[in-house]
Amino acid sequence: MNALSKVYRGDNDFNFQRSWIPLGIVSIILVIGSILSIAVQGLDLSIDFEGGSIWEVPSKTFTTDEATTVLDTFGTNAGEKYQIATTTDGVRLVRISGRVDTIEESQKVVTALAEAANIDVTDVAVTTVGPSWGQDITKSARNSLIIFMVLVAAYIAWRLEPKMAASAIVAVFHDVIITVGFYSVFHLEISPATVIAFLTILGYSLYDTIVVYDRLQENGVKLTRTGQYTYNGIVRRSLNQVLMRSVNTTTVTLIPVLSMLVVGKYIFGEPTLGDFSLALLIGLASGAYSSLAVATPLTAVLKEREPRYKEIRARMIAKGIDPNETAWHGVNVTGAPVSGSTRPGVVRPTVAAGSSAPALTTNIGGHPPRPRKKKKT
Amino acid sequence: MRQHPVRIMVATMLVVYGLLFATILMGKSPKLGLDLQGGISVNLQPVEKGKVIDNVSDEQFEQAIEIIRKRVDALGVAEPEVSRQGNTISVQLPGAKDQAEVLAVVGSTAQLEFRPVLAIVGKLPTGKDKTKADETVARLRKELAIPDGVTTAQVVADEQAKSPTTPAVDPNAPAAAPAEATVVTEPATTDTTQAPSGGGRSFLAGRAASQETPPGADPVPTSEPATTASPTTTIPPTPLNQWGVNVYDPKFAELYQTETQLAAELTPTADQTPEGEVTLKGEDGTVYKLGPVAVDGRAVKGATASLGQDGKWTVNPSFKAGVDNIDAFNAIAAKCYAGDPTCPDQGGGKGQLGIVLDGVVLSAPTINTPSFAADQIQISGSFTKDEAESLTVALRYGSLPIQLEPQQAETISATLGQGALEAGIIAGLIGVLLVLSYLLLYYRLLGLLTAVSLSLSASMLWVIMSNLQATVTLAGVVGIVASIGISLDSSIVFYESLKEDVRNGSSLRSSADKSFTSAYSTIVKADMASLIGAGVLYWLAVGPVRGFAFYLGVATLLDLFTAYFFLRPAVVVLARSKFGEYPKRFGIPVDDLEGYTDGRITPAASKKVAVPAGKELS
Repeated sequence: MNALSKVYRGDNDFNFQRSWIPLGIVSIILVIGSILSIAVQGLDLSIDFEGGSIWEVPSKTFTTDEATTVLDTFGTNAGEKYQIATTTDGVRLVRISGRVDTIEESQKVVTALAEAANIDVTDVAVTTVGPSWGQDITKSARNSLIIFMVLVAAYIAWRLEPKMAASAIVAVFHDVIITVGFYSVFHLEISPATVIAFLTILGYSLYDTIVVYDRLQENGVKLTRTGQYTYNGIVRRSLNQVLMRSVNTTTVTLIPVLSMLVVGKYIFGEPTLGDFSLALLIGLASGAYSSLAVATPLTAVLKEREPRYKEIRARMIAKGIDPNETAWHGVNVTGAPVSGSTRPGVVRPTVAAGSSAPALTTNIGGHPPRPRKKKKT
Repeated sequence: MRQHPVRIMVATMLVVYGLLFATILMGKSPKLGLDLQGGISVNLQPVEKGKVIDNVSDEQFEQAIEIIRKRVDALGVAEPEVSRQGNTISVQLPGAKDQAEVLAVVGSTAQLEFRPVLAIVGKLPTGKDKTKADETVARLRKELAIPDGVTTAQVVADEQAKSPTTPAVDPNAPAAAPAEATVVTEPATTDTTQAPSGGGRSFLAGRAASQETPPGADPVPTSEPATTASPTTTIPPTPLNQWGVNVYDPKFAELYQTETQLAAELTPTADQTPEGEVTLKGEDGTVYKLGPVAVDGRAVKGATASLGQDGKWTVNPSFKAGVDNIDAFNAIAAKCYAGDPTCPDQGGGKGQLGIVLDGVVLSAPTINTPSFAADQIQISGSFTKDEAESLTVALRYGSLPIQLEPQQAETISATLGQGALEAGIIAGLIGVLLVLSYLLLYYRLLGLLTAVSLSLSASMLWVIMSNLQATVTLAGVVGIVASIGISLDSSIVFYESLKEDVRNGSSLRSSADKSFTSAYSTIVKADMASLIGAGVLYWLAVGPVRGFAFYLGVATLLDLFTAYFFLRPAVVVLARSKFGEYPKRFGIPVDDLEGYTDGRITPAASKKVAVPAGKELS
């Protein structure tokens, strides 16, 4: 059986732990790189955060040079970016953004632009954001982020475990920093739509993380009792069990987002949709990755230090079992691991009546099939 | 739930699709946000000395919103929306185009002023009367064949200028007599019903004369009523004016009168100086000529509305102490009481004091006492409860002025929004199709159930959107598309849990309901994170983020709903049907499991395993 078909059948037992250290290094590099880029290059914030104006002049002939001439009379930085865009119904637009942040001044620019382009004043679409409005948006985004983190951490700590809550928050920070870093490295503009995207990412990232944690919690209770698995072993078992779940949930979330990016941005040329879906895409990928490669390993490291897992480890060493061997070998009811059954393919429990080898193992990690338990006696 | 999965499934579908059908039948549909249908949006924040402040009370905000709403209504935009979002007042004007005009109207600071009434000039028709007057004008203009852009005033002027027999005093050549005469008599008797005769009449005559007659021409004296100069007794001469309009037609007189009424000149906002005289309109259309500001809103301490013993509503303003405040008020009150020229007699020897907010005369009470104690003032009249409260709010607003400044203003062209909406919908549909095909391939029959469950969520979302009349913004559309993913996540968690149970040896039939219970607990935990996020965002954020949060939250709740009331019974029904013998059709591979032959439960094993489930079936 090849790996893919094993995964499809839920018989996979990948040793994820082996990749934790390299993945950790990758994550650390990405996070440091992102922070450096944000510190050095800064972020390209849209006018909504810092104040400024965007003017859209619909005209077939108006050029960016002409626009520059008009804007130059309003002082330096009045016009910063000049773009020519075409809307879905084929209207050519000259889009100018700049740092005019008072509404009166911006209206004057409108009049001047309309005159230069020889169109009606009301045809020029203008967006003006005052400086304090921008601060307000930034403040409310920051506040909601903090409150969100606190509430979610409290919720996870209550329903699952405080250590999981701490790791989940680290993973969320990881995702946000990498996504923001991506925007900084590639000089992409951050707009309110992008902020919305960040916030969605947090939700998605946590969804995957919580699915893993829930299984981890369940397995933790069952498997710790047997004393045959270290916490790392429990983590490995849980990750393998939820692998297909994570792959599928990530796939179905990515597809609509990809469709929005491709259809919205490249076919329709809608910048808002494009901004949004790009941020979502990066964040989703990072979120799926961090659920498996950041949140879970961190939890494992924290939990392995608990006395009861130290004890299990010590006992295993005393019995001459390598505690670092985390492969799934089922659970031997008599207490000793089944020798030679470290190959995951063998331990698959079946409903086969009278089959003696699998009868030794009971699938505690999943839901023990009731009829089989009775048979064993 | 275990006993009647079919009933629950069918009931859920009936209820949801029924609601959708009812909503469509009622003709309700979601309201498109400004960014999707185009228009102007302005966000205002309270400002003090150029800085945004955030210690403004709820009451002040409500008063400010009330006032802005009134101003916006005057703009004549179809569905204006004025709402408070945190420390911000958001004004959304769908379809509006002139940003400069909107800003001028919305952004100006409201001024409460007390000005003595100099005269009651007339009454502008409002509401139905206005429509009727407009119709009359249009009809008469057509009948008299007056070209567009020419006013009757111009016709009269031209006629008079060319008439050899001007001045119009000549009884034999009543050039403009019929017209002018009606101006004098008619408004005085019918239109200014509230106005005591005298002031109103003389002013109107004077104004009409100075305006409509060319310089040098002697206006028709008001002392000579038109009725004495009967136009019918004289032979109407041929029209002399360049448009050839018969000014002697009684219809022309009627038109002239109506047009003049409609054109009553109010002082433009820019010219309303505190020191000057102004002509302003009351809420009922009465036009007042008012003197300089005697006291301004800052003098007001507060106001209450109360129901008197006689069952009438009264408004009780109170003033602050001091020279600029109650003393100034009493000074003007004394003059009004005495009928002083600065506040002339409007009947009964007493003058009226106009309360003006934003250039509109809210009330012009007659002053019945020469001097007031600061907190013993009573404005009585035939107020309704609403009128009394509205006046109270205005008076209080004047006493608690908050200055609102536009912090963000945006014009969105409808074509741009339309494009984004189309792109969003098409992208969403393509995304959904792709995702569903993936799930059909992977989960087979279960994928089909997911498609139905998604359609249920979508229907509910449509019902909620249409009935709440919540506006759908572009961010909202994106939120909905993004929430598709969350809905599907739940079914995946459920299906994978089912698959795991079957692979562990349970029969599909017996594990359907059991796996749901364990999966649902995971789903609830995971959905809570989304719900917390949506709640926090909705509570704290402004503008587009709020719309997004709203739809994300609603979609997550719907996910929990459909999973419980549809997915669970549906999967149970499907697993207990004859398909339940073929786990492969549920995307669960069993070829390597014992107990299955050709992907079907082998009869022997099926008896052993499926018997308990079989009991539940019956």
